Amino acid sequence: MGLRASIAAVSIVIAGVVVGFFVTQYMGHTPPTVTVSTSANTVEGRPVVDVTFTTVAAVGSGLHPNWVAYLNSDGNPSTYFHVPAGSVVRITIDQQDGASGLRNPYFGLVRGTVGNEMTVNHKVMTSINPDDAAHTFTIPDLGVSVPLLGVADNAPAGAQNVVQFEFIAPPQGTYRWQCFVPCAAGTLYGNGGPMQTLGYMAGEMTVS
Amino acid sequence: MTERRRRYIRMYALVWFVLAVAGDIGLALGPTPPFQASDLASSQSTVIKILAVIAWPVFSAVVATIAFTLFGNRVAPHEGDIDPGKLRGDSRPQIAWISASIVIVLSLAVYGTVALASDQPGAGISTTSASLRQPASPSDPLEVQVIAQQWWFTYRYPTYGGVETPQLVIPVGQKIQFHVTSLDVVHSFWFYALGVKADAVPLNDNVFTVTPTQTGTYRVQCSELCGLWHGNMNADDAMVVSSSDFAAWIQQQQAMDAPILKYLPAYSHTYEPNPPAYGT
Amino acid sequence: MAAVAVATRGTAPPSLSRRLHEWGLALAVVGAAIGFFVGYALGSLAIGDGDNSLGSNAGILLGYSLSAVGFLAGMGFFNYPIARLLGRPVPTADDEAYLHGEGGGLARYFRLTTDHKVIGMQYVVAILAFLFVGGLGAMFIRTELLTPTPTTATAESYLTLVGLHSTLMIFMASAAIIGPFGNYFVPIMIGARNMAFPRLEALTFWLLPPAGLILLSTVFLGGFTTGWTGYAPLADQNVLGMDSYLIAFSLIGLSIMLSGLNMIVTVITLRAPGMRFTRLPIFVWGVFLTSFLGLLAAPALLGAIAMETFDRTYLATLFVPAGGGSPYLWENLFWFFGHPEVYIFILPAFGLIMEMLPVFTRRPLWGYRVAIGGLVGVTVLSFMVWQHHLFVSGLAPALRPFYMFSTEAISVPTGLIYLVALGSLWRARTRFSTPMLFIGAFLFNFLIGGFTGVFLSDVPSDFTLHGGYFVQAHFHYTIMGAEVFALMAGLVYYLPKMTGRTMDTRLTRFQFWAVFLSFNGTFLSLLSVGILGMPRRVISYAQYLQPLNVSATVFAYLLGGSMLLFLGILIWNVVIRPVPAKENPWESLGVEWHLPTPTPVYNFDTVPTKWSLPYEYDTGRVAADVGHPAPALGGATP
Repeated sequence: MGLRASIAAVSIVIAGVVVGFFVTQYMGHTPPTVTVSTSANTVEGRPVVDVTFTTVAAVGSGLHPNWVAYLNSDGNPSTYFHVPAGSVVRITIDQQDGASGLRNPYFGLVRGTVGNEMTVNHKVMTSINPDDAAHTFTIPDLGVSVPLLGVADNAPAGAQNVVQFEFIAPPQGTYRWQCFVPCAAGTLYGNGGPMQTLGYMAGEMTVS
Repeated sequence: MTERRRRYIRMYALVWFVLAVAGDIGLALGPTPPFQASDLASSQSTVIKILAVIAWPVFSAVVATIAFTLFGNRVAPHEGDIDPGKLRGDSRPQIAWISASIVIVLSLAVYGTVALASDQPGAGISTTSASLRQPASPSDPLEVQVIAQQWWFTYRYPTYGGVETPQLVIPVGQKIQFHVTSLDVVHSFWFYALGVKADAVPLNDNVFTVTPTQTGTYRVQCSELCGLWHGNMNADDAMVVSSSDFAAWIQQQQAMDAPILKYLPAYSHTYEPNPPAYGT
Repeated sequence: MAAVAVATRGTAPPSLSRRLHEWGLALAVVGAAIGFFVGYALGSLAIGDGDNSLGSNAGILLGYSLSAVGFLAGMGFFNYPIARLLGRPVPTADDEAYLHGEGGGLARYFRLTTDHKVIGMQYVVAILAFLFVGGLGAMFIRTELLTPTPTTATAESYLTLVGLHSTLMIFMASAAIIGPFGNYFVPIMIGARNMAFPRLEALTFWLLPPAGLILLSTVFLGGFTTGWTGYAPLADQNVLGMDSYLIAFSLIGLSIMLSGLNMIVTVITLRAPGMRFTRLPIFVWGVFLTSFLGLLAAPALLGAIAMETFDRTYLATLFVPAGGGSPYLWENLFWFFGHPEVYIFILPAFGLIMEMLPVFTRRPLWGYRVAIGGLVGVTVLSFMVWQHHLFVSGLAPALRPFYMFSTEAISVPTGLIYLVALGSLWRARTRFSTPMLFIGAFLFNFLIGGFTGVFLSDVPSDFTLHGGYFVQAHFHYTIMGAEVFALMAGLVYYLPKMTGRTMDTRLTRFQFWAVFLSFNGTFLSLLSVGILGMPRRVISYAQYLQPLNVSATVFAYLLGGSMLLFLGILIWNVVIRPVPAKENPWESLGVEWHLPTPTPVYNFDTVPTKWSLPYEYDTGRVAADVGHPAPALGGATP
């Protein structure tokens, strides 16, 4: 092996490592995860885990300040969380966004949660008027779908609807979840931007 | 023609014949996807089988010819009985080849058209008006609307009060008329086991008629790239069940849908996507 | 002539025009940057700014368009027209000679050079770059598909990966044969000293680097989820990454169209005296007919992309049904371009294969006129089949029988090409040189591609196969199995002429068997998963499809490795440790092989006037007498 060959081989290896590193980073990049807290009480022998989100009309900072998003407790857009198999997942959402209506009114129905119901500001509901939906929390593969009631247009700043529901975590696996309101301010034809970028209105629940 | 050439050609013909016959017997007897779960799937299996049975001998003939001319049939350029005039082309095999390929193509096209006409799936934009009535007789098709949206299929049953569900359940042995539409972008509804594939296009009603013949649990999936969760837009819970099971299931769905029924739009073959262009 | 130019250059100070061309690439980078910022500012100003709003789209679209213009301006494409508009004197012979690269040297490959042979070599490098970056994408896609659920990629990055792989490969395939070999050899084969429009020819090449870089920049703009087909209204929803795709694809469309125009004019007007249409080498026929496809089909794509940019900036809703538009508009325009496009890939490859075949069979091409008939038939029919992409779309079912017939009818002219190939091989004493192996593999792979196409053209079987991996494997058999194999055959065959260097025979033969077997292993597995019901472009698939997917992935790694081996042999034997090639190593009668190596800058000292077809191996007559002592025929085959 001459000098030229060694230079060629070394540069190929370096280029390969750089490209491989960049592509792997790009491909596997996921948004930060939401902290899940385990509650003290159990339901029918199942542990209860709490997941808390805030939904806002605009993130306000970061790469896409105008996008709608699910925020974690730190106020960052985040849609990834891990729960143990077989547990009762109790999701609490501080819904601060206004209503924009569903493309398919069917998703105004609460489905797949414990008792097929949710509580909105501690009031039990089984459906909402589809026109009043701001977002939905839907895990299609589990049949879980919950519409999130939008705050009224004339409500004071900081007004929110607290939506709470529970469902049983399925067997191990990764389950995608999303919103069915073609939300996102300033997105062409709805369902763009935040709806198709992980970490805003689309995410994954990992059951372990 | 030398003895050696004759032996070559005989061997070539024999190898091709054995290949062609063995392959065709295998193709004709073996199972052909998409199998037999509906009348449509069976007819697609038959079409694929017939095409394969026709194609295999031609395919193996060309491959055998390439292989033989390359490896088995080498002759020096001017040796033997080859006519120098034929080095640049010979009209007899040309005419024979062209006629044969035209005949094959024409018969394939005619066969395809006949098979298409007898199945009549995918009638495109429906001319029938939307109806909520019960089928008058069991031979009338049961209308099932497939609503595609980013990224889940939901199904509406107009004959059962327009009830909508995210799970597809249909009765066996009854003619089903799928009406496929979309609320946003182009999707494609693929029920592989039944041989149904229809693009879901907003403001378009794509009709597919099929009679399922086997009960079972099957997979439905989207087969047109529709955005982020396209790869997850599938469900393994589509069911073909007996009529009595279907009746019980649809009752249960009607009960589940009770809170939302008053909000659902009147049944229609297409729905106006809202917001139309610019999200708010 | 070259000596004169060098002599004058020594005495006179270099002119401004020459200085500008010398610094072309650096100025181009500056021009692209300025163009981008000016365009971005104008676009944002025109429509208003905002996060992912219409204004941002306008900014990116205009920014990328102007950056491409700036790039070309920096390269010096507008110097000549602007100087003429300003009434400056015409360029001196000295300047023109410099532009043509008369002085030789490596630098002319990195600036605007109007020598078609330099452009051919530039295409070789660009095509290989597109092929290997795109191929890297394929490796990552196959890695992800080892498991039925996402592991290495997310749903978002996977779709961008799929889009990048497919679009880069389409860019590559649009010019894989016509770019390197068409530009290099068509003028030589017809007895011309250059192309009809040399600056335009350089332009078609220099559109490629900005197109590739703009497309790759999509990863910094959020990617795009539409694959290479860019279906609207999904394209309307996409983030800024979609704008990269639109501009990149329109640059490629422009390149295809202009290259078509140039080739047509060249072949019609610049043929040497005595070079009649009935004496054109079959490869020239392939390129000539392909050029009509490019010239007529690419405008449909450019129109569709223009409409899509209106949708994305001014809410024209041309593709949004709720706004009065139709998704079918995009589907029809796109496939009106897209189906002729696949014949833009394969027709030059047919030509190249038939051009090389007689060299190894040592006999005339059997049925030259039949071959032209086949190529013409494919060209004409290819404009009449595009709706077979819409068989399940619900659009106008009454049209299906017609498109089924026209699609099946295209197998008749394609069959003629096989007839010519088989007739040429029949009873021939074929020389098993390395390119011949690739020719045999081409015939085998395209045969599978063609026969799988019959299943897709027949409407009832298409209902189950449409939009699945069967389609994917089908077009990989035609593009990868046929066109890329023709590219490899062409490189092994023509590199001794283009570079004076040759690839190692034993290694290349080993590489051939590796690539042939692993290719078929990969795509036979994928044909099977398609028949068993796997849709295209999915990150998750049904559990029962895993074994076949694993087999496809393992073979794909071998395929990727053997393609890398090809690149390695090429770089090693041509660049790092040059292996000098014999003159006319394949003992061809083609005129290109009877010119000195390297080919003189203006090809011919005196243009020959007596021409014959270059396949007269029974009489051994060279296509034209070029006055260069011909290497002796009849030696051993390398």
